[in-house]
Amino acid sequence: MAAQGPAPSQGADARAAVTALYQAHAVGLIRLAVVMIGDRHAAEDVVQDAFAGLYRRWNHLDGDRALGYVRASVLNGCRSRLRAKVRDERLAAASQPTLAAASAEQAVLIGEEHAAVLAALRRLPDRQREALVLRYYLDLPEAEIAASMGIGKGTVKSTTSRALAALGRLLEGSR
Amino acid sequence: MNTLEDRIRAAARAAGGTVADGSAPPLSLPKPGRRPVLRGWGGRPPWMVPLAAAAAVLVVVAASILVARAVVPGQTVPGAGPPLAAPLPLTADGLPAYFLAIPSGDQQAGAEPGNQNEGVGPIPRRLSSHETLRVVATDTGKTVATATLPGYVTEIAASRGAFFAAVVRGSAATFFEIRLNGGRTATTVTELPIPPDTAPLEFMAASPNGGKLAYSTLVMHGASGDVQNLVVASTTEDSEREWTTPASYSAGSMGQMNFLANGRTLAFSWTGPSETSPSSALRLLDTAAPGSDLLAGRAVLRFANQAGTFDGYTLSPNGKVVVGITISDRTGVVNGARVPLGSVVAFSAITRTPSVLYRPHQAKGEMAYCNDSPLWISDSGPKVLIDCYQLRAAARAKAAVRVLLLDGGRVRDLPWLAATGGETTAFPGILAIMVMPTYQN
Repeated sequence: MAAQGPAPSQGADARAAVTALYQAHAVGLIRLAVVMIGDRHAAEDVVQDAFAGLYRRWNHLDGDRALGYVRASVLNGCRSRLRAKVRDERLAAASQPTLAAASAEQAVLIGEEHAAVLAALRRLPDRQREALVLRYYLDLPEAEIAASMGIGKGTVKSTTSRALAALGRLLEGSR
Repeated sequence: MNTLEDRIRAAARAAGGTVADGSAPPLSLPKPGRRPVLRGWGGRPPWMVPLAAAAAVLVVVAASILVARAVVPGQTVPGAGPPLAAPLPLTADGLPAYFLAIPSGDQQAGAEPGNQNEGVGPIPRRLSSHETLRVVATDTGKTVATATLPGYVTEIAASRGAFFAAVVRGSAATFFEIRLNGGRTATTVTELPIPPDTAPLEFMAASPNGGKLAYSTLVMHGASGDVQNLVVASTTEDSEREWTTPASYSAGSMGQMNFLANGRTLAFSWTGPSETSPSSALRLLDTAAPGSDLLAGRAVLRFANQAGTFDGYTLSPNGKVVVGITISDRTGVVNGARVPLGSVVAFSAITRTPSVLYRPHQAKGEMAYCNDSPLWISDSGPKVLIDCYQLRAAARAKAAVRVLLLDGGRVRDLPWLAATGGETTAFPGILAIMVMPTYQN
């Protein structure tokens, strides 16, 4: 069964701690999710969900690792959203809003060049996309990237290298 | 700092910059100690939620008992593994009749329903506690059975008679066999007597008879750089061997791999510092020969050659045909014609003579390509199953996913398999392949 959240006696402390963490990091994590999935509302949902998960597990977590936990949850949430959207794009009626529409809006907001790079990023396999965003957007060191993605440091290096090559090919191919 | 890295930074910062400081919505947390209400779950009354949750848990538990009765989560099965499975049938086209697929996250049984913004659902997210895989009939694309594994499935593979999964529980991967029962409507999941491995798994392959499982891991080795490890383990008894890269090749890494029909030779793609470096090639390793040098065997075909540039190859189980997908549209020429991006090229493993099996049609405003490696290749090479994509630049156009059977010059569309786009699949003899996600411009 799912954890139901901290016991009532501990709930106030957990709520305060999670809320403080949210206030300090929510915008940054929403930005990360927007980079990943290109949809502001979906990004906010993913981040809310991640903090709700953090709250449920608060009693079982080392407080120093809370930000790492919630960042990993945001990455997982983005992965699920992207996979769901890929499937939905094949199945859904054309009238429904899609990531394509979100990308079109984004192109207006941020320009064609950036939109092209972001679209190519989102075509990469999950692990490659995450490695590039964590490395070049958040400027995280390899150890933190490895922890956030749940992989080894060596795999971060090889994944980043392959992702750069794949991204270059995608951008070249879309010209 | 190179231009591509700068472009990633600039694009990501521009996208992130659309979220203004202080613009995060208020945090909505569930009430402490109480089950939250699923307000977004299809308009059903709240009193139905606990009933549905209980029913769902019963279904999951019952399914686990029926489907995965040999699994004891958290307990390693000592001693012998299951006897080898008899080969599964082939379709009329000679394709494997069944393959294994990891559904995308939201298709998982027990995935949280409703609006995720509403907080917690009564059913836990299954991906961290268990994942449900589906066994798919190749000639219909329909799921014939499912298999529930006790953790996050990181890799899958297939032999002629069974499927295999590497499952991460805690900090280590353990290994399972998934076998279709006689009626082909249910599966038996059995933990294999392979020692758990704490290194991150990269690729996995099963021998044709299912008696061996090979998997690669990449670990840091201090100042000497990365060391690529390959483990070949018996699925029937507690025995395994390990190979590592020599220090002089610390910059390289293994890619996709598969066993040849003899069950002892492993073919794998090896990438040096880049696809065009001299050491990037398809390599063979005799897993019965003494020694532990991963690169002791010979290279068959380099990634950069007259037909173009490749980032991986697949060798037919009889060792005679090499198949690769071009990743560059500038350098490849076959019989005087340029080879476009994403073409499927077959080589004779002996003479290295190339021939183009499939050339994606690239209309104006479209990007067409085939995935990095085939889904399946027949024993002697002439039949190749592959997934290809056509991406259109128009904002609302949909990506087209095509699964093609290339058979002696004929190209046949298998539209009922297009739904595997976005899934990880495993066909006998070929490693688990992640289909590249498609995304619209």
